[in-house]
Amino acid sequence: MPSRYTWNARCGARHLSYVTVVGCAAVWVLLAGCNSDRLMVPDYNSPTPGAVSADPGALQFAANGILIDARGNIGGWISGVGRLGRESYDYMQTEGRSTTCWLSKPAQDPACGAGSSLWGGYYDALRDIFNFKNTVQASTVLSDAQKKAALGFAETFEAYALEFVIEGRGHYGAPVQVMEDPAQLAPFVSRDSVYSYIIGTLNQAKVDLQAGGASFPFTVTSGFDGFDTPATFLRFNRALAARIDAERASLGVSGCGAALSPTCYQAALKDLSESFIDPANLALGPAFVFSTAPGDNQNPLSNASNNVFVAHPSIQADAEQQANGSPDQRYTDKVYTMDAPLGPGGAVPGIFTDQDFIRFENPTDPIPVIRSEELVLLRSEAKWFTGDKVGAIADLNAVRTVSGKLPPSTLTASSTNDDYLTALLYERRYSLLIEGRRWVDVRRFGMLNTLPVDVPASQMLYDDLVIPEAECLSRKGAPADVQAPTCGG
Amino acid sequence: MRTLLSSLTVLLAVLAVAPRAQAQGRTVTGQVTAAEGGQPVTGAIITAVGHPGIVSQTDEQGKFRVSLPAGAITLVVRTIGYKRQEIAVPASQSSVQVRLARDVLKLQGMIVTGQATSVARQNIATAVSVVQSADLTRVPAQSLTNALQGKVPGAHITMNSGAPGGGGQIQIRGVTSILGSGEPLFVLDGVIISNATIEGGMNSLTAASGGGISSSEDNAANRLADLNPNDIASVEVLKGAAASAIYGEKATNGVILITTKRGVSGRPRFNITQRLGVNTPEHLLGSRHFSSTQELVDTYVPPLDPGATASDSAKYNAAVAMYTNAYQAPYFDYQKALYGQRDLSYETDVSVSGGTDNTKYFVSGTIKRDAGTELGTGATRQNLRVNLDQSFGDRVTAHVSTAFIRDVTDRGISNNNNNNASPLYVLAYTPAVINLAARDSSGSYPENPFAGGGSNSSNPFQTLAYIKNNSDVYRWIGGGRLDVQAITSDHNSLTLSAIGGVDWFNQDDELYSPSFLQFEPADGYLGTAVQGNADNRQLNASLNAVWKYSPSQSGILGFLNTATTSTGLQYEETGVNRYNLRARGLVPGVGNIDQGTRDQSQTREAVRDQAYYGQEELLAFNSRLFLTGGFRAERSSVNGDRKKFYIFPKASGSYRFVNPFPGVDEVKLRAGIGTSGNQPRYGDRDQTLALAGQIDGENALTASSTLGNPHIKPEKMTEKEFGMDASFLDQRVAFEGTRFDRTITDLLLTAPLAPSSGLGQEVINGGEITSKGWELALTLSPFRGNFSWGSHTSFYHVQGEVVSLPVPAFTVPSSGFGAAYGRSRIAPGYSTTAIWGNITHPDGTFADTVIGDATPKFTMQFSNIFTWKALSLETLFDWRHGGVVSDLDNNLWDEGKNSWDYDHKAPNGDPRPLGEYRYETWDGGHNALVYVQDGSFVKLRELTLSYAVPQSIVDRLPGNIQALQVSLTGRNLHTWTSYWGIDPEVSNFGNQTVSHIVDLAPYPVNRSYFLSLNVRF
Repeated sequence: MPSRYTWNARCGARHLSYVTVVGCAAVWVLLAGCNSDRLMVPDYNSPTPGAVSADPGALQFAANGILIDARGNIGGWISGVGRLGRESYDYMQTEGRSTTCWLSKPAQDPACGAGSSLWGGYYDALRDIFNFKNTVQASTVLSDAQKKAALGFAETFEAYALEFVIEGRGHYGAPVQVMEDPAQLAPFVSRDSVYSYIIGTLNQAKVDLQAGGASFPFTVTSGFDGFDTPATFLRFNRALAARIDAERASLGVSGCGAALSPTCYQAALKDLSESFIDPANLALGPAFVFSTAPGDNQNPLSNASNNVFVAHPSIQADAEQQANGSPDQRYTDKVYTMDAPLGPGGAVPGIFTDQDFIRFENPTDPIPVIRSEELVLLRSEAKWFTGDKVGAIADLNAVRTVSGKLPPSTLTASSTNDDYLTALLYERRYSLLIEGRRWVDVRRFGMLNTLPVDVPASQMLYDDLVIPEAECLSRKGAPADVQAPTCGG
Repeated sequence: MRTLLSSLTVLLAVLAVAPRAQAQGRTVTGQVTAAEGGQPVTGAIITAVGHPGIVSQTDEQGKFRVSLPAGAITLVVRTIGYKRQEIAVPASQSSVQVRLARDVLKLQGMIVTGQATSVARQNIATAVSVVQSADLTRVPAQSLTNALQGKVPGAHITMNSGAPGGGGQIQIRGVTSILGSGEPLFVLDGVIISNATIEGGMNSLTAASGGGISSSEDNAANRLADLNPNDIASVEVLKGAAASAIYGEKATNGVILITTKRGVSGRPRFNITQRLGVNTPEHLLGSRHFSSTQELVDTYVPPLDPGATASDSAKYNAAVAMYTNAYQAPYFDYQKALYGQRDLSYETDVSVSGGTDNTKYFVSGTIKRDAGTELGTGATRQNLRVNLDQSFGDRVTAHVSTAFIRDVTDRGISNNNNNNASPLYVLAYTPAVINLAARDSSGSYPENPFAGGGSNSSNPFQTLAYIKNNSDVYRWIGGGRLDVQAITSDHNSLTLSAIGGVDWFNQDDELYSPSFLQFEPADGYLGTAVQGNADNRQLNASLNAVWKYSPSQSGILGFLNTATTSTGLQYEETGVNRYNLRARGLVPGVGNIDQGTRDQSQTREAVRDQAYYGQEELLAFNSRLFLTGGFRAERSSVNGDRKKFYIFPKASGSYRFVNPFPGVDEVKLRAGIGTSGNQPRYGDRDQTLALAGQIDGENALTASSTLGNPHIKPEKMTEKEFGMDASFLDQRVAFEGTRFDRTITDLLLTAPLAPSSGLGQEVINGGEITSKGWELALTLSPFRGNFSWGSHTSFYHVQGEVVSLPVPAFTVPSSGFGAAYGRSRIAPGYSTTAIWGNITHPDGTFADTVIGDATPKFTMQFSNIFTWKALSLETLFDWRHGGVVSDLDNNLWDEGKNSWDYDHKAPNGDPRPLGEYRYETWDGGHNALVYVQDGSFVKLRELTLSYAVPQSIVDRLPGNIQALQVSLTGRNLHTWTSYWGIDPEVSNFGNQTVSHIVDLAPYPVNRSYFLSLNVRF
């Protein structure tokens, strides 16, 4: 130990006076104990952002974090808006609130307004994306192209998180920013601003991905096989852009003209042309993967994980028939009839159903992010409202006859928009069953009232999810520009 | 640490070869006797003014011998209980006679005022409690915490359970923090020691707190239990900030200074104590008697509805058959058998001390075996201590203290559970009609068919026969102090002191529950094994300079007796590394954690602090006036700003009016003000990421939901303290009174963040709480002679309040089980220890509101000592008035329709049996007050009858025996209380900062009886 020799040398080993000894001890204490560098103790239990950004391999973990956030939010969304869209129930026998809070309680009930759980998770994801982007931008080991690729990846998921926020709360708007200082409140902006932000972010991601070189500086999970380079991931990005542009067009947000006018449908067609759309492979698309390994998650909607996640009986009743008299193939593939019907339990108002999903049978079945089948239907929709009605009917039938094995649609180029929408919503309902689209679809075309209400006396239809109580409380008394709508003063 | 040790070694080596400077002169002999009665005073300390290396001690005849340098010298003779006396010994004189006056109130005992300074108790300006050796060891105790119960006014000292190996907490002057530490700082001979609680993993068996490996409900012992009370000379409790500010950021909860015994020159003196005793449960719950099968069936099987279906009837018949077949007898006393272990407990303590003028030693060894009352439990502690004092000439003295400890406990299973594995829990639901203790011919225990049956239930006899819940602690505490008298003159002295030490322990936990136990399948795995390890290191070092100025009495500063200026710097370090490995689904017969499905956890912490201090103490006007002022500046690695020094100032003063009126010996008025701190927790400052699990086989990192705060700073307490001490009639009557008033600001809190921030909560400083109270004491010694009676009565009242809170009112974690059973909530305008729960209003609605307070209205202690010649009788009663307890015991036993008083008459002529009446009044938790019960009690804590064999007989004994004493002692002999559960002082959640009110199937509190024999030679 050199320090010992240094110490001896400095103080001399022999013939010391005691005062010198104590003086040397004082020097030792000062040197060893009183330098403030000694107080720079790291956190031994959790990584700090600083430690992560210093480790070139750590970007992989952060990228996984972005995917795990997105995956973590999808099950709750599908199950929650499945109830609002009368696709599904969560008939947990010992928890009546899994029914009442979604179907019966006033939307702004602070205890359990519909969708109070479908809020913070998206902002948790945005926080991780915010941190990820900062890490990337501060990185000294990534090349410019790698940075662009990583940013394009993060921006795409940023838009994906905000999509659900605004799909749930169109009348209220939402904050789109994550602030550096988490105690500082981001303002609520309007629905149209949120949509503009989302499409702007997707377009920025496109620019970044195009400058992103041949590969990401991390690997993307196996659910994204085929979409795991900047060039192929861009096709997924464009698929999301098509979904957003179609929503914007159908809602008539500012910049798109009146509802159903062609401007943004034109954009959607362009997005689709750059996406992975493939009428010959309707199942194509990235997915969230699950596993039974320790530490991993299982598919929360699978029959194995959740046996009270059941289907609305109207799905059976409304299914059209194939030429041979059997129901729509999509119904047969995704739903079965249980031996015994299941009700909401106890005194909870609601109806029994004997329909249950087999869409996700095993706990390791992946949940799709967005599929070619949806893209073909989006193209049909965009074509119809940009004047290519024949092309629209062709795309509709490409799904209807293949996926549903049904006879071609009776639509013609002279059919009304209403007839077309009814036909489109039927195809979308069965093609995208429990993929979280039904409630969004009926609302964006103003057809919420077409949904059935099982117990009219005590149940209702929701046009928006609630702004959660915790969000209201933390904005209570805040300046007007950051107050949340529907929360009161 | 290694660097420090090697440096110390070098330092000591240098000292050992340093030239000896002491001039040997002459030898003086003498005898010290009591002024009243003339009996010899044993153990009096003789020192020489201006020669710190010279120390001697009187023997059993009061005689001493001391080597002095040539020339006139002044000797100081002192011992606890007598007034100190200075004797001038001219150069020619070689023997002295000293007669010491009694000091009943021990006013001349020295009280520590700083890192390296002290003052006589008569001058001290703050309320400091001192507990002497004899008071700690008179009645054997499980742990030091136990031994301090009832002896420190201004503190609530409670044992969490009766499990062998201890486990209890000391809360001084109320609640000072909510999330920060609530524990006092413990300093042993200058070494800051750990009082950590390391949970061993019982949660893996009980699932009390869900699926984690360990939890705060594990009934773990805190490590204060490792200390050997026999080694302790005195315990000083610095309560207020005016006394403790010198310990800075760790002083808010008070500082407990423990001083061990040291050697004095002379021949080796042996002190041997042998104790033998037995522990019994102080209180058990009993259970309901079922006189017939029919009564059992009627109680547990609901009658069949007239319109029942065939399947209902089949279920009914099966249930009736189950209870009918199970019934064997009206009553088996399960608890008497389960807590019926009466193995011999023993304690052997041997110490020897002695030395030469330059070298003194104190060596002690203790082995203590405490048999638990629960089957298969026990604790064994072994202590070895070596204290050495070495003078190097006239000016330099070195003091070294080392203690080696091994502490092994087997604490069985107790407390809350979620799978009916905890004995008192499952018994609540088990009618005592079946002999669960009887093994069949193959040696198997019967399955408990009740409490859910199958793996939902357990047979506690089987559980206790096979489980292992051991912890094995090795600990070393070593400290050193080097004093250098740099300057000594008539008017000035400068002493430099280097003080430092290390406390290290390693705790090894082993838990094993074999696969065949009845409850084992409950978590989906057969068999559970946990291996835990905690490695804890603490280190502190300080360098101090004390300049004592004694001006000439004739000069301009003649009014001043002494001015003591001290300054120094300190370094402190704590490190802990804990990990647990658990295996479940074990192959049969092996507790190896390699043989199952594994999971694990690890926590590491490291805290480092640096501080400077300065202090001035003035003693003036013939030692009537005492003024102190000082500060500590401290910075720490746990603060947000690690370079910033936080300053903790203090000031206090006292004035003694000597003989102001006839009959009044002395009246002292005192006042003090001080600030102290409480550190943020390790990691509070760090903004971290968290492992969010795996996706596609790879780990993922996301933001932690709790945001660390890079600006976090210590909690700050400001305390004012006023007091008056008076003694009358030659110390026959004495009174002490103290009022304290503490305000704590910058509390550590977690503030919820807007969900749209993407984070859950943030650690902040803010809010304000107060704690105010009274400490009063009355000491009487009316008879002194052949018959003497000494009495000490103390009173303590404390009241805390939440003044302001910058976050919404919140429930304190681990303070209870929700509004149905009462728990702590922190809400502005309410008591800090207010207990909230549901109350049903007359209109039938119910609301969660304040239903009590965990803090007693007051506590009082009555200690009396009667001696008649060689016989003495000592009693200690402890009275707690008020303070509620969440009596989950009663709730469980009523819910199980199995309370011992279930069939008693209900009040108000209600026709239901008492148990049913209570349970239904509780109304599923809408009326929490049924089970949130008054915890008032009076306990006979300690009773001792002792006999000192007269000297005339001792002298005739073989060998060189100097003294022989026999005593019969009892602890917790009786409790007078109307409380239903096991004990109002136990805590299911262990040590808690705010309140600990939950009594839930604990390890029953002990009553103990011991016979002790003490021999000195």
